[in-house]
Amino acid sequence: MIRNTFKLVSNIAVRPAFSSTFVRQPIVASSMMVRNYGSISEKEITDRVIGVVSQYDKVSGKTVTPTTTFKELGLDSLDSADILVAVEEEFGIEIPDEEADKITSCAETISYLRKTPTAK
Amino acid sequence: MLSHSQKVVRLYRKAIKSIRDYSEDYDMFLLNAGDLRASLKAGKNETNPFAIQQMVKQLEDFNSYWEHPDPYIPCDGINGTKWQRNTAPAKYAVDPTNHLLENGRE
Repeated sequence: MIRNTFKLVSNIAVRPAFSSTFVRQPIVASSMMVRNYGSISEKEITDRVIGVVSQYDKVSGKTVTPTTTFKELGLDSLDSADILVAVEEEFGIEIPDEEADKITSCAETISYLRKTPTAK
Repeated sequence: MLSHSQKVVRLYRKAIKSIRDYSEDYDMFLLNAGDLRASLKAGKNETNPFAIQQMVKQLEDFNSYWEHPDPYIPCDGINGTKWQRNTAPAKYAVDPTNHLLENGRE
């Protein structure tokens, strides 16, 4: 009986102490694990808008910049409506008619999308 | 008061979205959207105000006829699914006999 008790005590005494190498590092959550509730950056908006406008049939072969107006690309009001519908589908939003009437250039499209928090 | 150009563009936007809602694939959408654009372009040089009025009326009738009972809506837009706790049934499901398509309009 006494011998067993002594063994237990000696086992406790020789147990190694925890060192810094055993400290668990905090898990860094990657960006893929976190759903992004923030707004899209202006650069991404600009690139995607220019991509949508460039893919339009009547714009093929022309250079599209963030400051290009639809009139410079040779588009009429119906073509602008087509492009805005495509932009709505690209960003998952609906542009009201009052706002759509005012948008006549890439810059105005980009500024409207920056004001829209629900754009995806 | 809307100008003529604004009115036509708004009707065109609504018509394009109706065509999109009814189109199952993009090829069908392109076909019908092209037809719509061609019909609008046909009246481009019309100067008779009564003929113009009739064309606008035709476009409005097209819109009312082809209004989709369950259109695509962004989930966080107005009437989107994000704001609904118990989603309302589609208009067509509630009252199918009252839809224009069921009345056999040509």
